[in-house]
Order: sequence, then C-alpha cells, then structure tokens
Amino acid sequence: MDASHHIPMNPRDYLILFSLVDDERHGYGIVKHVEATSGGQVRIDPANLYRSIKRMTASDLVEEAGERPAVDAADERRRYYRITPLGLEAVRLEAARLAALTSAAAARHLLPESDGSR
Amino acid sequence: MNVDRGRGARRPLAVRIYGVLYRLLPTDVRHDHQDAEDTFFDLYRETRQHAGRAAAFGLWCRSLWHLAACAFDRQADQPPAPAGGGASRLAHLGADVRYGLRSMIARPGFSLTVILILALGIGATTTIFSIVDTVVLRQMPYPDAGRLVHFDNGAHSFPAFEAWQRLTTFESVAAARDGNVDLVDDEAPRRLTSAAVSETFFRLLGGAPHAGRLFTADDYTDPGAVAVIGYGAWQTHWGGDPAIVGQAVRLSGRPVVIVGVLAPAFEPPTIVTAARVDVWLPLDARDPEHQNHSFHVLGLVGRLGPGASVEAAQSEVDAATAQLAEANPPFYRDRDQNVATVPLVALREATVGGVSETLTLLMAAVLLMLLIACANVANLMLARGTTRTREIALRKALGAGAGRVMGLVLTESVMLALAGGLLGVGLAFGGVEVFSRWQPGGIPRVDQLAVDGRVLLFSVALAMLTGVLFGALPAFQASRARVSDALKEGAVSTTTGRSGRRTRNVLVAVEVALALVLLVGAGLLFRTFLAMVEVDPGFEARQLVVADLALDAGYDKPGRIQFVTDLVDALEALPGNTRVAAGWTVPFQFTGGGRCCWRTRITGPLRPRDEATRFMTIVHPISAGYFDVLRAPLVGGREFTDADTTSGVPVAIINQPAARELFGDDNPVSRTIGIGDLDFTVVGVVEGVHHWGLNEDVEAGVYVPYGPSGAGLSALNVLVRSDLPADAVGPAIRDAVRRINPALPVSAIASMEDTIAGSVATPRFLSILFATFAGIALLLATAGIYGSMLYTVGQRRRELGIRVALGATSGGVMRMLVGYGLAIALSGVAVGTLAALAAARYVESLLWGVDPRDPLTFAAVAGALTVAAVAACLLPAWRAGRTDPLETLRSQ
Repeated sequence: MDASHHIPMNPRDYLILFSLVDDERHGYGIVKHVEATSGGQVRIDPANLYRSIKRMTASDLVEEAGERPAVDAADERRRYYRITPLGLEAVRLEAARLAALTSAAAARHLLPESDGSR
Repeated sequence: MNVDRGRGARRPLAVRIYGVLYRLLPTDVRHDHQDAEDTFFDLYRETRQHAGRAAAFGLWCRSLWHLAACAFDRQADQPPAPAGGGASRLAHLGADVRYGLRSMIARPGFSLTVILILALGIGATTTIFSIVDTVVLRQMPYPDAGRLVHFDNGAHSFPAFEAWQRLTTFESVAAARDGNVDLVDDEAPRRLTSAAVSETFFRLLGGAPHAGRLFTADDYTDPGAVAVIGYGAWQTHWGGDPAIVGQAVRLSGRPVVIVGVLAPAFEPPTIVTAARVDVWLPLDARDPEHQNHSFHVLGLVGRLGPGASVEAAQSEVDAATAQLAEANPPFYRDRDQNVATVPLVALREATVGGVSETLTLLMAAVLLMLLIACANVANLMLARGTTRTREIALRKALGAGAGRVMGLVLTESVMLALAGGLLGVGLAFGGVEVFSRWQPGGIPRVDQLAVDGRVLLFSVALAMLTGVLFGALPAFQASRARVSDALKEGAVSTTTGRSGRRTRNVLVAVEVALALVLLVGAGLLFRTFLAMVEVDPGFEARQLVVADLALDAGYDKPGRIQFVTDLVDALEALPGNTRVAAGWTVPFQFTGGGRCCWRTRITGPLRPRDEATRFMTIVHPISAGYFDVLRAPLVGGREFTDADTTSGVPVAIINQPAARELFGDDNPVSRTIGIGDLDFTVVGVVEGVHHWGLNEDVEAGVYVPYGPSGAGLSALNVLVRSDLPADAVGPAIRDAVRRINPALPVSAIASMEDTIAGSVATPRFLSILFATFAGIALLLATAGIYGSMLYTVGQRRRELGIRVALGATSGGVMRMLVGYGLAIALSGVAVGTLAALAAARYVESLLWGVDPRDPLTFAAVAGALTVAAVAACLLPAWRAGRTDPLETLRSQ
C-alpha cells in the first residue's frame, strides 16, 4: 500500500506515530511522549488514543509489538505498539508536508525568526 | 487476554467505572479494554498525585465525555478528516435533534405521557434538592464560616464565657442572650424578640449596619442606653423611617436610643438567637445575674484561629472548664460530679445537623420516585422501540452504524427528558412556594428557599442523566436490531425478542419493588404520626386557650401576684363557665425548642442532701386551680389553694414520674422533698402532663405555688377554659389585660388544640410528603403494569387467537393473563419487601411508637400493591378474553 494515501494526516495520528518512531511504547508512554513533544499542549485521551491505534493498526501503520514485561517492577504486563515501515514512510511524508507548510509560513515572516539567517 | 483478576479491585472506583464504560463502546472504535483502562489508570494516578483530587476528578469527567463522544462520532473519524471532525459531529447532532423533534411531534400522546411522568419525577427531586441545598449544602452566610464552632450542650454562664474568651485557639468568642422586650409607643404595646450580644458578636459574624452604626466599646459602659434594630423590625414597627436612628424609644419601660439598623442580609445564627431578632442590645457584663455560675443563658459561638484545629480548641476548653469547676464548686459538674463537657461543634452542623437526616431521607425518597419514573418511561420507549424496528432496520440498511442508531435514540430520549425537566422546574417553583408557605416545623433557613442558578443547573444535569438512564436500554436494543430479521414481512408481530419482553418485565418488577419501599416508608411515618396523636396529653385540650405575657417593667413580686388575681377575677366574670389559672409554664410550651428554663436540684426525703440528689428538673410555679382548669387528674392529695400562696408554708405538688423517682411505691403526700436548698411538703400528686411533646415521656416534674416561688419571674402564661368560642376568648383576654395595664403587650394567644397540632407538625408533614411520593410511585407502577399487559396482549394476539380457536374459554385466557401479570408484580413485591426490610433502619430515628419492621404496615402495603396489580391486569386481560379468533387470525 502507498503511504501517500494517508497524507494529509490527522494531527493526533501524526503525534502518535511520531512518538513511536524511536521506540516501542505502551499507551501511557505514548500519551506522555505526545505531551512532551507538544510542549504540554496536547494530551490524548485514552478513548481517542485507542481509537486511533485501532484504526492505524487496521491500515497497517502501527502494529502490536507483543507483550513484554514493563521496566517498572510494580507495573503489569502491557501492550506495546511499534511503527511499521509503512507508518514510518507516512510520518516522513507528513513531516515533509508540514515542513513545506512551515517554510512557506516562514517565507511570509509568520514565524518567530530563530535560525539567525537574517 | 492479559486480565489479571486481582488487578481491578485495587483500583479507585473512578478508574473501574471508566473501564466498565469503555467496554460499552461500539466495537469498531474499541480496542483492548484492559489496555485502555490501564492507560487511564496511569493518567489518573499521575494527575491525582501531582495536581490533586479535584484535577483527577476533572480528568475523569473529561475522559467520560470523550468516551461518549467516541461512541457517537465514528463516521467523522473514519476518513482521517483533516479538520471536519467537529463540524460533522455537530451536523449529526443537529440532524438527530431535528429527527427527535419530528418524532416527538409525530406521537404527541406518547411524548406528552413521557414528559409528564418525567416532569413529576424531576420536579419533585428539584424541589427537595433546593431545600437540601439551602439548608444543608450551602455554607452559612458568615465570613470564614468554616472556622465557626458552637459551644454545645445548651446555654452557658457569663463567667464561663469570660474564661473561654481568653483561650488562645480562638480568634474570638461571641455571646448572645435571647429574650424579649416590650415596645410601648402610640400604638398597642407589642412584644419584640431581642438578643443581647457581646461586643465581639457582629464582628465575628460579619454584621454590618444598614443605617447608623452597630455597637462600639463605649456602648458597653452603659449597656441599657442603646439598641440596634433589625431590618425587618425597622420596616414593621417603624415604617422604614430613617429618622428613627438617633431617637429614643421605650423598650420594656426604659428609654433606649436606637443607634443603627442592621443590614437586611444579616442572618441571625438561629442556634443562639431567634430566627428573627427585632432588637439587638449590648450584653451587660455587670448584670448581677451574669455573675452567677449557674445562670446558663448565653449561647456561644467561637471562631477558631487560622490553622487551629477543633481538637486543640476542645482540649483548651476542657482544661478551662476543669479550672472553672475547680474554682467554683459545685458548678460546671454533671450529676455524677464529673467536670461537665462542653463539646465544640461546627456551627453549620450544630444548626442543621438535626434535620439533615430528615432531608437525606426525603432526597432518597424522591430519587426512588424518579427511578420509578425512569423505569416507566424506559418501558414505554422499549415497547415503542419494537414497533419502530422496521424504521431502524431501514436506517441500518441505508448505512447507519450501530452507534449512529444509538445516538439517534439517545438524543430523542434526552430531548424528552429535557422537556420533562423544563416542566419539572416549573413544578419545582410551585413546590418551593408551597414549602416556604408551609414552613414545616423544625427546618432552619426554610424561609430562604428559592429556585436559583445552582438548583437550575442541578435540574438540567438531572434531566440529562435521566434521559441517558431511561434511554440507554432502548438505544441498546435499537442498535442491536438486525436488518434482515426486521425487514421480513410481518416480522413485527412474530416473537420479537423474548429477551426484550423479559427486559420489560424486569423493569415493571423493579418499579413495583421501588414503589413498595416508598409505600412502606410512607406507611411507617403515618403510623408514627397516628401513634403520636393518640397519646393522651395528660389533660383536656379542648376549649382551652393560653395567653403568653411578660410582667417585666414596673412589676415586683406583690405587683405580679395582684395582677394575676385581678386578671383571674376579670376573666372568670366572663360567661360560659370560664375558669382561669396561671403558671410560669404551660403544657407543650417547649415543643420543638431545645432550650428551656432553669433546672433545679430535687432531693428525696433522705439526708444528707447531696447523697440524696435524685434529679434536676424544671420547677413549675402555678396558681391555685391550675390542674382543675387543665382537667389533669390528681391521683392523690389536693390542688393548691389561694391559702398556699399566702400562708408561707412551702408546699409542692409532684407528678407520678417524680413520685416514683423519689418515693418508689410509697405515698408521697405529706412527705418532704428538697427543692434546691429548701424543704417542701408534698400536698398532691398529679398523673402528669406533657410539657415537651407527645412523643416525649412525661418528665419528672415539680409544681410549686405561684405567689411565693413564681412571682419573682416575669414570664406568665394564662390558661382559660371556657365554653365560649376560641375566637371570642382571645379578644376577651386582650381586653382584660388592657384594662388592668394598658402598656402590657399580649404577645401570643393560642388554643391548646392548635399548639398540640403544631407539636406534631413535623411527623405530619413528613408523612404527607412521603404519602404523596408513594402515591405517585404507586400510580406509576400500576400504569407500568397496565401498559406492559396491554403491550403483551397486543404481541400475543395471534397466539391468543389460536388458543381461543382451539377451545380456550375467555375466562381461561383472562386467568392466564392475570396470572402472568401477577407473577411479575409478586416478584416485585418480594424483592421490594426485602429491600424495605433492609432500608428500614434508615428511617428508624424518625419513627416513634412503631417498629420499623412493623408487620401490619408491610402486609398492608404488599396487599395494596397486589390488588393494584390485579386491577391493572384486569382490563387488558378482559379485552383479550373477548378476542374473536377469526378476526385476529385474519388480520395477521
């Protein structure tokens, strides 16, 4: 399947996929990672999280990593999720799309100038 | 599945509820529920630890909202819509609302029935909630009200007030002594309520002047000279005239300058003062009465210092009381010579604690009624739902998902509930009005009842919840409807859902069970009322009128004795066998009020006296002929005569409980008892009259002649028994008093029958209210059975037709159907009886003279419900029995 079918991507889906790029995570880990990435602005609600995961699993962007013991000894066994190659490709495309939008915005001086190029 | 069985139980309820609700999500949006619950648990725990309980509750509410949103807006999510999710969700809601409106209008009879049933339930619940909110939930209207405590166990002496005022855990302590003053001006003399308060009082409770000023330290150097008047009294007695500030008025014979009017918003703390105080006076520290350690007249309220705990304050008060007891024997000790305890109780708890139990019970009762209403409406919706199966199936065939169908049905039920809620709020306005007019006995702050924003918010939330509650089952049923089954020709009338019928039967049985619980409650409360009314008050209340007087200003002992003699003579000159007596106290004077009068130590015939102390009780000074006028039977000896008033020989009459306490089975007449430090000879024994209320045992009581023992006191009650009508006796008393002393107000005249009726106002009120709720519940449950039977008959028409065709008699069909309905009702009765038995202990404290498991009440209620059930089954069964089989079979 072609990853471009999934572009543009729902921002929530993008953040979830993005959080899985560098590591496999369980639900709570995803929520915390998204919260950190978005600077605390986005906190995904569990019901919506699992709805997205279910849908992205169905479209092969995400897969279950299988159960494994949590690092925290007091924790129970959790389901971990990992991004698929298709998912990774979709994140890349979406990131590129966002980057294009961002640079277009920057060209119009809509962004705070932080790269010191001017 | 990775379900660890022990795991769920350790989690907070909120998390477990979330888990259960998550499981209810439609399968296409639901993932592994255990995983979702785990994640929510982690989030909840983290929020709870870092942001506190309230934030965790907020998270929970938001998450539940998301769950609900998830259940209803799947389509919006399916194509990963960039931005349209919200808009399309709204579009769906809009369509659902329009659809709901159309379907409500299309079936006006059905909609109106549902709305009316819900309006009853929501209206009653809102009414009771507004009372609970005003009386119990709302903080008292004082600054930092949470830090206010009441010094419990009655009133306290001035020296104790001074001692406790010095304690460090208190920011300040305020004292109030309630009483009355007579206002004498150009109009008829009037008796006003008063409260003498310490300098700290208004500061502590946040009183502010409307005009003029409140008390300053200077006012306490000459406390008799100034007064502040309440706003209500200002309006009533001085016509709201601002010029009154700074002027002198005559209060109880003294000129007093009014220095200010208290702001109308100030609510007197009813635990220490009257609910409406007309005149506020500075508390006089130098009053000789206030030096007395046994003169317990001050109500005390304290404000704890910031951060001070009630426990710390309590131990300080205990220590200070112990010191007082040490320094001033024999005071501040109880009967067993232990240091008396003065418990500190939060002011709100002390003020409303007694009624919060009653109100909780009422709230439970209306909620039960609302549940019955919900079950009833759910049943109606289910019955209609089956007839709509084809419509729903068509929608599904055209692509509506299960969630979409559920949303549709739920939107409709919530809309019905909101309409019912709207009407219910209208009813609640009326209900609250009735309550404020009625002013049922013993509920504080009831005069401030109002349907306000909070109450409206409550009723809207209640309506939404109700809508979800009764809509959930029908919505679920609709979402499960199968397209293929339903679209088959004639499918409606085949055995549509045995499970559907079972659900409806269970709902009806639940209605019956809940109604039974309410009816039992109503029955028990009514029996309590009856039991109280049947109590013999100990005298003949008919044709008896009581007038309340205060001989304050200008009266000394001989003056009062002369006044009583003059008044008795003047009134006994009236026609109609008029007989008159007077007393410091009269029966039923103290009902409902916790505070009363001085209690004196009574000792038996034995010496030494302190060992023979038997009890503390009220000593009632009475005039000659008191018991004769009351028609209270004497069991031995004689009444007081005029000679006892003047002879100087100390004599007493005791009642039977006192006689038993002091003399056992011996005859007390001519024996000696100690009253305080004096010896009295018992000349008579009366059976005993109720002073405190019908449901209170007759207190051991001692009566002494008015002249020597009562004429030093200002309070005086006049008892008049006459064949004249009561509305003629009242004016005659006023007239006689005016002729003797034109400046003396007669504050209240009441017939004894009214007073006794007033003393049972609370149980009467409770039983009427409960009977109303239970009556509605009975009606709803009966209607539920009737509706369910009607529906069943409709569903089984073909089967019945076949039975009749095969030879079943109409009687047989009827018997079968009534039996069917009765089985449902009886299972409800059985479950309800068990529930009522279990719930009985919650009403126990409100009952009197009846066992909470009273078999008669239970049997009567169960019988009444069964009869109602049979009656509800008869008409549908009778119609079914007359079915023409040919007709039925042809029409199918």
